[in-house]
Amino acid sequence: MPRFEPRVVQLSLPSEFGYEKVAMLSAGAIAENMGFSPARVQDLQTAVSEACLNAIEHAHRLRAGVKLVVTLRAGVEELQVNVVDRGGGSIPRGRRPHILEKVEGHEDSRGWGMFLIESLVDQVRVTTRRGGGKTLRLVLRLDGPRRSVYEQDSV
Amino acid sequence: MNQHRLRVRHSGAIAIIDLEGDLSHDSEGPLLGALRDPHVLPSSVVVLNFAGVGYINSAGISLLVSLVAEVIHTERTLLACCLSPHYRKIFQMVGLTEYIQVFETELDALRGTEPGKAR
Repeated sequence: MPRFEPRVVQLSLPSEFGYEKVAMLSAGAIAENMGFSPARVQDLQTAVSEACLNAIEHAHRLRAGVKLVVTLRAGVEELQVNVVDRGGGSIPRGRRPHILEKVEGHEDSRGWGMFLIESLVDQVRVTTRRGGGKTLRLVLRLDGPRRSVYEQDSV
Repeated sequence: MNQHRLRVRHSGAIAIIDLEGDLSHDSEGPLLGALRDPHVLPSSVVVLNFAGVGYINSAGISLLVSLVAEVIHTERTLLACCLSPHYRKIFQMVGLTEYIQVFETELDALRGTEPGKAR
């Protein structure tokens, strides 16, 4: 029986608000093709959008000429989305934000992205490269109920 | 890409803000502006109608948090209607539903604000 080759799509996107939707819609189309339920497709789309926004805004600081690379890898059992940036800094763990603190002005009203990402996909891995840049990998699995796993490393 | 637009209507004393397009980074000025509009300020209840919104990102969530702070400061009530199931779930996840009562339809939201039914 021939071995299944994952289908791979790669996007190179300007670091400008709005282009996260290109990745989001592509991920949605692939997830739909793979048979994910509409609810899980939307979960993935929100997570991919936030991962791209993180690169666009925080890593690349809205420099449109600096590209983020999004690789979508459709396997038999899972869809992997890698968002690669070339920026500095780290991606902090997405602890649950305190909305009361934000509403009362004690905390910045921003800071929801990583919390949403970690809440909506099965696995999140942040890899920091020593030479600069990071890869944020999101995984959505086809089997069974969802579970959330977070990993962090550097290479 | 899909720029945010809005329209303000009234149903009696209730102000209804119809949102359209993306709720994102560039929505803050128009939406906070609408909330502070002299025609909207006297309304003690403001309904956000999300029927025309297809995309809300974390910046849009942050904006809604700012809106909540604004209505609390001005002693008004913020309601929402016509959210997709996905964004309704997101509202619950981030805790927005503690401050914004969400209704299925605009009519439900307006009925929810009738005397004796208000939160």
